[in-house]
Amino acid sequence: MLLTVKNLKKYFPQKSGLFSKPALPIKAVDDCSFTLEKNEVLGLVGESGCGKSTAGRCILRLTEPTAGSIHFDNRDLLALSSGELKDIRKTMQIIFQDPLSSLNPRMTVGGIIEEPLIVHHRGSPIERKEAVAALLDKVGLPQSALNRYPHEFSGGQCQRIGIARALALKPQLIIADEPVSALDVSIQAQIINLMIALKEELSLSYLFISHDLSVVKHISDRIAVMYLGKIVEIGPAQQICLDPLHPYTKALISVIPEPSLHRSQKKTILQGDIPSPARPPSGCAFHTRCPVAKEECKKREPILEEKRSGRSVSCLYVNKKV
Amino acid sequence: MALLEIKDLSIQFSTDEGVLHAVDNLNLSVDQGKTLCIVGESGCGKSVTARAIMGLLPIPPAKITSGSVVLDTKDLLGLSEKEMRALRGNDIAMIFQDPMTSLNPVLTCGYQIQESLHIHDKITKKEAKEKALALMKQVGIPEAEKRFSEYPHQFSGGMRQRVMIAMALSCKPKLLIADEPTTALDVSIQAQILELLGTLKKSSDMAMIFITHDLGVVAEIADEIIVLYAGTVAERGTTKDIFNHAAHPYTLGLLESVPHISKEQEHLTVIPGTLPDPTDYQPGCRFYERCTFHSDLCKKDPVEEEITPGHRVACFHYRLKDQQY
Repeated sequence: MLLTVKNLKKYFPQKSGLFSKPALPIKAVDDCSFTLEKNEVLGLVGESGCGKSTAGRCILRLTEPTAGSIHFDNRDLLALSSGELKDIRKTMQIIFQDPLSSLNPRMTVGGIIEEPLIVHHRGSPIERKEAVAALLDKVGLPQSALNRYPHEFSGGQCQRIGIARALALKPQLIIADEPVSALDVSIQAQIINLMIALKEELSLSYLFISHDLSVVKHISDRIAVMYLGKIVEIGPAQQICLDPLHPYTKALISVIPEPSLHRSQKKTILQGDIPSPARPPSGCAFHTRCPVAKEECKKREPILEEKRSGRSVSCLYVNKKV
Repeated sequence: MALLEIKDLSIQFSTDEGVLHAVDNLNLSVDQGKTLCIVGESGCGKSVTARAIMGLLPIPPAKITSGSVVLDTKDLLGLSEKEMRALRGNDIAMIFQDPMTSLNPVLTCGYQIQESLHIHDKITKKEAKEKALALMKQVGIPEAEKRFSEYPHQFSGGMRQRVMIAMALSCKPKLLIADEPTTALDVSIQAQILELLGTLKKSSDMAMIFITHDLGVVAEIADEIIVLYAGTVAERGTTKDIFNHAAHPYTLGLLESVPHISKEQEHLTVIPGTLPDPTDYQPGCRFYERCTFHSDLCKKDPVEEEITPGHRVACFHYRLKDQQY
């Protein structure tokens, strides 16, 4: 097991006024547990505000988790000192959503890709230049890119630069936070294919965070669906998409617009908005929008448990058939 | 007769890098009660076209170099600003991608809906408020009476978009232009808004121009589709023509590069390369460099050819579509 996340919690405190009641914290991630194996892709999906990005940032300790444990390569990430953390971060990297704003506009592309190598004292200047040239090749950029600046490149090319930078230290785990959401459709396919090819070639593991379930399904081995800071369903990608068990996953999949005129599924349109994560509903957090909610759902909180082999669902009314 | 007819519309922008050709010789028409979808990637000229219809282009730097936009026998491009103001919101209305930045943050949502009624219909404040409340209920805003006096920041993204739709519908426009209205919304909320637009369309004979980059959304809402590439029309036809019998290599590439949720795909087909520089278009087909079928023939400007009635393709090689793309 490469990565084991247990009972991860991240609460963001809110400021309250001088005389008002203390404000409730925003429960961005509330008791999430998942694992990631070597050379596996785990997709983390959910709508905005469900805590998927926060979970990703907690793993890298870019955001300090409130509680829980994160084990990477059998080392407890939360117990590390800052020096040890810097050391272990060589093996885990992140790719961001906005390709242009995540690159320093004053640095050349060569400088951007070389920087992680300098920070971690890897190789002599000549070796580093060679490494950078090889990385450019790997992500499909011309060598002429070396001395140019990020603004001279299109969105898709900037994302390739971001990927090259993430690969520079030969990481084992890459956390990709909505890496293709800002790109045009035709470019999106290029980047997805590149990421799949790199994963095979370098035996990487991805935590692929996205709101787009069709993209996640394409790249992931397993998918975890989040709602209001909690994982509601986790299991193999194909099974989740073709035979979802949790009512939220079911509804989410049924409303994904598909570029074809042959729709078999009937749409289940969820009513209302996503509740505030500061005041999640009692019992099952989804009961306010759930089309099949019963009285019991308001009172009792479901736990994420295995309902089919390899598939866990957090719903009181999904029967166990293991 | 078509409600809106655009003929030979060309729009340029003067920039520091030279003249940018945003739209070139665009022709389109929308009939009453129909939904036309304009699909394309960023920079293909879809939003610029919408703004040209609304008279919202910043002139300069924009310049309409040729063409006409005729709504109900009236050429919109020849109208004065005052005449255009009377038309905007009344005959044509528009909803934008980001509902937060298109609403005024210091006015209540109710006031903003009632404002356009007040300006165009010349009715009393009380009547306007009643009508505004009815509109809010029509677009599915719960507790309309209470929410009437709330401000945009108190609304969620989906609810704000409903407010925008209520404003757009307030004067019963003949044409509604929706510029990526669901792009900023979550899937479950997007489904709500698409359902709302669908029912509104059924209950009136309003025409709609729906601009989007998402082919999935197009399949759900369109009657007719225009695929734009780099400011020119690549292909046009009914929803069935485009999704079942796509003929242009670009359309085919787009359709195949999208991951499907209910389909098993080994590998995504990729359109190689990137969009051409809009300040430096070469003569001939603009898809030339990214197209697998290109030949010397493509160095001439392609003209739209009709394959079946209403289904037109601007490509010399469209018959090759049966071959593997």
